[in-house]
Parts: sequence; structure tokens; C-alpha cells
Amino acid sequence: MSNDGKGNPLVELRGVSRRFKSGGGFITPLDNVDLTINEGEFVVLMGPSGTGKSTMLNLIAGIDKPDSGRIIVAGEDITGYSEDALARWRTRAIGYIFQQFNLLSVLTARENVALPLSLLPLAAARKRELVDTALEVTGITDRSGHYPRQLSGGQEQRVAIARAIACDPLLLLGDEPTGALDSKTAKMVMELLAELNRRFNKTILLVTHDPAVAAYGQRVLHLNDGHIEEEVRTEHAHA
Amino acid sequence: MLMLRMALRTLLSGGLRSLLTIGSVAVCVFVFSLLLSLDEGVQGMLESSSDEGVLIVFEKYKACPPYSRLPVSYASQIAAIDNVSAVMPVRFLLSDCGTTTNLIAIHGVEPSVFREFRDITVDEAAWQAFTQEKGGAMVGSRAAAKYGWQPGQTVTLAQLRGVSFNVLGIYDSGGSSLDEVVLVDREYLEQSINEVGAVTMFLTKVDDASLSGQVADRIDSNFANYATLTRTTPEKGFMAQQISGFSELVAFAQLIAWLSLGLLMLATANSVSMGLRDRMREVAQLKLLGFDSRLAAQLIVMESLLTGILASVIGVALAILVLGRGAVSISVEGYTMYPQFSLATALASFIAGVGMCLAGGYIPARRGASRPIGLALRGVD
Repeated sequence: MSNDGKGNPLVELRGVSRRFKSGGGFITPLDNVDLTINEGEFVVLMGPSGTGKSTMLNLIAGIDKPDSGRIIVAGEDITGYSEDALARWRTRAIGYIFQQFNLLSVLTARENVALPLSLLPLAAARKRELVDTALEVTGITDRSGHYPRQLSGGQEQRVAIARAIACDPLLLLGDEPTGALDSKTAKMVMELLAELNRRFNKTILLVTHDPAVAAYGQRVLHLNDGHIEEEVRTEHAHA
Repeated sequence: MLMLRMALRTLLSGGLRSLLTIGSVAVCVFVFSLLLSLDEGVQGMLESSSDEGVLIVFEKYKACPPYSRLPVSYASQIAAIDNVSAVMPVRFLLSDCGTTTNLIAIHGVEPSVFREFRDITVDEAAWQAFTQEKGGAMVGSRAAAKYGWQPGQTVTLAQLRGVSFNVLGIYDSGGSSLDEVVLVDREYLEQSINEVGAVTMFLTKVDDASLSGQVADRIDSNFANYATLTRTTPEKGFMAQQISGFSELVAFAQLIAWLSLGLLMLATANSVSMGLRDRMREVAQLKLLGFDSRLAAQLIVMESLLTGILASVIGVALAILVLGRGAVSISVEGYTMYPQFSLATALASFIAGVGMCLAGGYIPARRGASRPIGLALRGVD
């Protein structure tokens, strides 16, 4: 699958396959998939349940490993990396946003955002600055002292996005990031992601079932039977 | 710092599970402290009787003090032996000769020479009165505290053949077994129990400690052809023999101490494993943020460390509270041993508690943290 995106290739999947045991046999959510995502792109991945959308996200994030093929991110072939090497790589390369936010309940919003930064060899002042920026960009500064249980779903997702962007990663991945939100809040979250893409040239890859969310993507990919079957190019509807 | 805060808050938010883990570790640390302090208590007893210049003349072939019966007339013959500078016949009257936690020990002594043998802190006027009043008694500080006896009080001990005495004062021997004893005039005691002329032992002072062995041999030789034979030993050796029951008890206690540490480690490992089962997603989340398995494990181990620190502080504090007040004692053959809780024991208990929590948390933490995060986070849709 080629692309005519705006920047250099950031993510490249070359002949990637992944299969899982299921009952007595196997299912193959990804079968010899090729894909390139360029820097600064906003890509949406759609498809019926069980077609491997999250699997693809996990492979790109280095959470899972392909059975065959290569995954190259920013020129780095991560396919052969160990779990620990992948973990360290993710700190600077990947920001991941979940449907259920996955904030750590014992940390305040600010501390959640600061957590990945604690792994980077930066001065404390610089870390504080990055946390402040992330909270400000996501519009959650006024709730930074609150614990996740004291936040609404939309606020939690904003904190999760702030955490995802705090280390200024190369790529933002979102697995149904609006799936647990009402439509109004979902729209606000998507506006935020679109702004991150627009203002800060963040490369974003989202998985969704929701056409309204898909409308924010510059490219919409459809996964079916282990293949990317369709690629629909859209205008950036909300640009 | 953030990781420390996170570990602390995770621990505190653990509710009943954290409470139970901390409680069980604290109890183990307390038990460990108690058992270690028994050993220190035995060492303390031996050290308090370390004067090599004092010999104990006891009846040969007798072990328990109440069974040793030596004629009081031996005293003058012992005193006549070369290098013997002082002799004091002592009559024991014990509430129990076996192992007990509630011993009452009365020692009939010679008030006029007693302090040549024993270093005690006492009100001099009270001691003076003791040397003159036959029915008077000086009570060891721990015995006084244990039974609530006060100067001026008349005590009658029905369980000790109805012996009664007037408490004239309270003395302190610096924590030795003597603090558990009631001192009365020997002749008064013998008359009270209607056994005049037989004593338990002779405390014998030698003017040159290096000659103790020779003097002991001379004393035993002197009575070799008498109806009642003697066994003379330096006081330290005598004490070691008398409290050999303690030593065996302590050896067994130490085994239990180490087992309690093993239990502590297993309890922590179990608690960490159970906790991790519920938190696999959280661990996976950390790894997704960039924590490698070593760092993720460190965070979990840090929780174990905090558990260990908190629980060990509680366990040691409990031990200080219980043992420091002298609430626990055990007596064997008329000698009372108090577990001694020193700073070294407190430190050893604290370190053992923290160390075992660390060890207990380490393996489950490593296992939990090295699980592939895909297993916890994977969703195939």
C-alpha cells in the first residue's frame, strides 16, 4: 500500500503477518500487509471487529511482534528489538491513547503526564516545562491536581492525550480513543487530536468504528480478512 | 521520586489487602525480634555472672537449687581454705524449679557480706535496716514491679510455705537475674520454713581470680570424705550449666525465628503475586509508556520495600513496647531470664523484615514485569 502523503515515510510495514491460535486452528488478522504512513499524516484505520486493527496498532507500537515481515519506524527496524529495547524506544517514539484512558489511578493528572518523562534524561525544570506544555495544549491545566476518579471521561482522555504527547513522540496511536465518550466529548477530543496534527505536525494513526471519527483522517484505511482492502483519501474534514 | 510516590500511594490504596500484608509482616518481625532477644537475654545472664573470682559451692550430683542441701557448717571450713576471702551461705526458696513464666524466688543471704558478692544499687538506709531486721526483705526491682510490692508492705507467700516478710527497700542489680529475687536473712528464712542448718550453696570469693580452679579443687577435696559432697565451679560456668535449659530453648527459638522469616517471605510473595494478578494491565500500561521490565519490576519491588519498612517499624515498635517494659520473662531452675531487646536486635529485626519483603517481592515482581504486555493489552478486533 503506497501513499502520496506530505512528508517522509515514518511508519513502514513490509509484508507483515500476524496470526493467533484460536480454538483448534489459527486466525490471521494481518496477512502480508504493506503500509506506509508519512510524517504529519492523520490516518484512520477502520474495519469490522476481529479484523486486526488493534493488532496492527500493537505491532507498530512494539507491543506485539509480527510472525513475518518488517516494521520500520523513522528508519529504525524495530522487528528484532527485545521487549525491553522496545519499551525504551516507545518512550521517545510512541504516544498511545486508549479507549479506557488507562490513567494510573494513584497519580494526579499532572503526575500521570510526568510519568513517561521521568524516564528521560532531562533536567527537572525541562520536564516541568514539558508537562506544563502538554497540559496546556490539551486544555487540562486547571484539573492537573486532580486524580483520575475526580475527572470526567473527556477530561481523563485529555490527560491521556497530554501524557501521550508529553515526550514529543514521533507517532500518536489511538485505539478507539473516543469509544468511551459521549458524542459531544468525542468531538472535543477529536478536535484536539486534529489540532495536534495541524499545529504540531503530529503523525496520528487511529483505530475506530465511528465514521464521525474517521472523518477527521486524511486517509482512511479499511482492514478486512487480513488485508488493507480499501484506502479512501479524504479532505481533512475538520481542517 | 515520582515512582516512590506512586509505590507509596499504591500501597496505601491497597486497603484491606495492604493492611493484612503489613499486619502479617509486622507480626513476623515482632516474633523474630522476640526470639532474637531471648538469645541476648541468655548472653546477658552469663555476662552478669562473669566474675571469675566468685565460686559456687553446690551439692554434687544435684542440678536444681532446691535439691542442693549443704550443711551450713561447711562455711567455716571453706573460709579456712587458702585464698578464700569471703564465704556466704545462700538458701534458695523457689515457687517453681521447672520452666515457668511466673517465678517467685527468695534467697536467704547474709546481709552483712552480701554486697561483697553482688553489686546492687540500693537505698543505704534501707539496706542498713535490712542488716538489722530479721523479718525484713530487700526486693529486686523487677519482682517489685511484677508483684506491686512497696517498701513498708508485709507480704505473705502462701505458695512458698507461708513465708512472710516486710519489704524494707527495693534494689537494682542492673538488669541481672537478681532483680527478680527477694532477699531475706538466711537464718530467718530457715526458721520460717523450719529447715535450719541446710543451705543451697556457698558463694565463695577468691582473692586471686587466677587461682579459682585450684581453690575449687581444694574445696571439693576438703569435703570428699563427707556425707554430702560438693561441686565447686566458677560462677560463670555454674550459670552456664544452670541455664543450659535456656540455651536449648534459645537454639530452638532461633530455628523458629528463621522459619518465621521464611514465612514472612512467602506471605509477601503471595501478597505481591495476588496483587499483580489484578494489576497486570497497569504493569502493561507502564511498559507501554516506556518502563522496561527491570524498571517495572523495580516499581513493584519498591512497594514491597515500603511494605517491609512500614511493617518492620511496627513490628520493632511492638517489640520495644512489650520487651522494653520487661513484660516477658522466663525462669528455669530458679534463674529468670528477660529477653533483652538491644539496638542491635532492633536493627537486625528491621533489616530482616525489610530484606525478606524485598526477597519475597522480587520473584513475583520480575515474573509479572517480564510478561509480554501484549498478553494484558492485546485486543483482536
